[in-house]
Amino acid sequence: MKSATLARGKVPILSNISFEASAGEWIVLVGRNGSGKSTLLDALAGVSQPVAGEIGYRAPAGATDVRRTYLPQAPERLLIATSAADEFAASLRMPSADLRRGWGEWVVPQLAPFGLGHLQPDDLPSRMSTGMQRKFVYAMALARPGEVLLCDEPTSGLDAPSRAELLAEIARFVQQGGLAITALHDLDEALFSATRVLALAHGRLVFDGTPQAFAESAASLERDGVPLPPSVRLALAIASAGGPKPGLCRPEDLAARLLASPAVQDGARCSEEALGQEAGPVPAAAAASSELASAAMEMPPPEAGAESRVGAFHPALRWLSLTAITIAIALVHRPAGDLVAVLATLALLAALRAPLRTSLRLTWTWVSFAALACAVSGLQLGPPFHTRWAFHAATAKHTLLEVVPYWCFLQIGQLALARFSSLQFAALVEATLARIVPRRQRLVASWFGALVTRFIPAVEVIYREQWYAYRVRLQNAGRLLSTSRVLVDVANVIAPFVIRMLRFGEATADAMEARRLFEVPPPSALLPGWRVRGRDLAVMAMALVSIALLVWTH
Amino acid sequence: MLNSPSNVSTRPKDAAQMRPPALAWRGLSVSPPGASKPVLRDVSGEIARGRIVAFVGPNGAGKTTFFRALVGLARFQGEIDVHGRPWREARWRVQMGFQPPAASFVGQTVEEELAVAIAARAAHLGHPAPDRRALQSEIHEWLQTVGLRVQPDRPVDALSGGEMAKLAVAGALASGADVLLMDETQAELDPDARSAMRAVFRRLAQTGRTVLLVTHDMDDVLAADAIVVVKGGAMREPMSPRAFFYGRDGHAPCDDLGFAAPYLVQAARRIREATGADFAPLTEDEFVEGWRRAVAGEIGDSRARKGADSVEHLV
Repeated sequence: MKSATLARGKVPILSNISFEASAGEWIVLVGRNGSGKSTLLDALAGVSQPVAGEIGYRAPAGATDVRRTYLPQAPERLLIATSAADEFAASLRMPSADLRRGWGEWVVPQLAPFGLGHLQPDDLPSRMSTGMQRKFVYAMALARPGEVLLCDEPTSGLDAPSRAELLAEIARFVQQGGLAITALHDLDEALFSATRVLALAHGRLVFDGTPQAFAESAASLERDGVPLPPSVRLALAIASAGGPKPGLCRPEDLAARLLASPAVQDGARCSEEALGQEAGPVPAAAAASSELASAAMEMPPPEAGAESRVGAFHPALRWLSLTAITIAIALVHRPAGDLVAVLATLALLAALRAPLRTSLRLTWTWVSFAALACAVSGLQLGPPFHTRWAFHAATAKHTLLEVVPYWCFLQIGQLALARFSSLQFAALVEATLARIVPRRQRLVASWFGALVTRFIPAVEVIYREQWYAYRVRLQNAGRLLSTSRVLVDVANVIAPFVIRMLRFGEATADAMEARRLFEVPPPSALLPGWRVRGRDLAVMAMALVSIALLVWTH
Repeated sequence: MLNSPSNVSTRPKDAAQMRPPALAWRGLSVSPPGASKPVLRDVSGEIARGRIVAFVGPNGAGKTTFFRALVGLARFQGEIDVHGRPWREARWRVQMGFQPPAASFVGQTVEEELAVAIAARAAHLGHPAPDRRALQSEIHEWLQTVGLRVQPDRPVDALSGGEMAKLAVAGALASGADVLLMDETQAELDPDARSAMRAVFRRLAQTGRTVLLVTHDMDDVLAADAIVVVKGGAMREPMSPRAFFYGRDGHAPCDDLGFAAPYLVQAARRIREATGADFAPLTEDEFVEGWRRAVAGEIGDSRARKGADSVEHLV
């Protein structure tokens, strides 16, 4: 890796990272949350590309490429919701039948160390608990890990025996000549097997050295904002109380050292300055990098600004205007009417400050659809369908006029959807139904509305995560997304996505039930008052004028 | 053994008359839907107000089932009292944290979520809903209580894992709960966020709230006031973290359950074995103090056993 700069979206996370690693090394990445460990692993795995610099792998003599296996955080996402045998088959690119035949001799020994030896080929891993799913994914990945193993917090959410087993498996993989790079919080055990530690802080590499040197430079690392594992923290506390200097030792060795070296009774200072100068951590560049880090920490809430600005419009009136204008556009099919519809939509997009990117994306979708529709209607293909080839421009034009309103519908849909907050929606339903529906049913309807609104963004997050996980899974198996298998790929994303949504929904239902929310009227005190302001009237007027013009063209 | 009633009590004997325990359960049996036999059988016990109690045990032992029964998600037989009142009347004082926390949020932003919780409390107590200003200042207070430093209009989906965990706790408190059940809600957090949550729980306990944790993280167990081992449908007597990790006569429950003792405990046990001193630290400070004043003194000084007494009141 040579002077690489990595970013997540547009936010720079790490800059000027360089290191080389070779087979037989176990590198542990250490750093706070948000320090860029996952970003670095994504780039090393090839899931994302560096903004600057380069990352390269050199294949060993006799091989053509370096096969990498990447296990991101929450690795249970990598499962594709099929039977255990098919999961293995997809990972190893082997026929499922072969795996079923060799299940006892070959697969069970992979699963047994993780306490999953009882699994049958037809068991469904997606039905197991999250911890078991994680163990299954690790067993599967370690069955044929290739030359490079990249793991992001592999021990999180596992019980103690599985943690120990997993670290032992990684150590074994390294001994057999593999290169392992793992982000790890649980360092107390791993420091004894790892060969090297890279510490990230403030968007930079602040330490690169052996675990021994890492433990010895504890004091200066702590100042740099690198989290220390409990064993190193204890060693540091002992040192600052006048005990032996911090170093890497097992608990029994620490006890022996403490018993051998008498404590300085009145706490002679084993000064931090002296400790800090000992080992050679890379000095942290102060100003520029801390700026970078603070930029990384304060991830701007997506579209929060736009949300609140648009939220300033009266939600009910906005919704009414948009609905009325949609109906009016749907009723008019004249060239002049289409022109009015497009102009009105543009005006609304500007007035309600729709994000330009979304508008352009929707326009692009519409353009592809319109081109296809016009081609289909205008084209006369020739023999054997027709006597000769021809293109009927008039028919195509007619079709184009027919589909123009759909552009308006897409854009108005964008404005109408997703601009209600869940509480606004609940309060609106509650207020609307106040006189008509009995209290109990009204509350259920209001909270149901709130949940639907709340989960539109949540669903999107889960869906994106699932696609990311599937790309990682394909890459681990040495495949790329391909058009010939697009249906299989989509199914492999949708199935686990639905299962995760169901689990998510179950937790939501439990939480609603435990909080007994269905007995509580939705709070409306926080919402902007139902006061009609000038700009609401302007939007209403704009809608009314557009509708009048549309009717007139009719 | 399995069918004998289990008794749990964390109440100091002399305080028994003063305040009813935060939770008390008698003859409790719970069968979750779909289970052929009860997961918890005839257990009894109580937990004093202001305590942090860790529930540990193998998977499927009934820890989660116990929590679900306490918030009304699993049917149970037997009696539960919350702060001395029957469960049916006072169940709103018990709230549970769910995993993933994002799934339990109804509001779209931090302030909306807390507004929902506050509205729930007002509804359950029969109070009028607070107005905008009262609501905003109360939201601000809850954010401070749990140490959540974000803008109130921040969308909940843009929060980090640690921030979501804090928001879930703030929501439970705002809805009037003072008995919090945390079922492995910290498992997915990084060590910094986990220790921040431990500090939050400690502050809550000091202000009279009661926190029950199901956890596999031995650092959480080190920081608890008492530990209840749940195994095979029964609950054992609560014990102190010291008894759990260091045990009596060299036999620690922690090892019996197959949990790896934390590094600090492992090192301390060696020193204990070598010197015979009652050296049983639970924190780094206790370790350093105990070692400095006594254990090292014992060896550095030729007057061998003299320091050993001083450790006992120290750690």
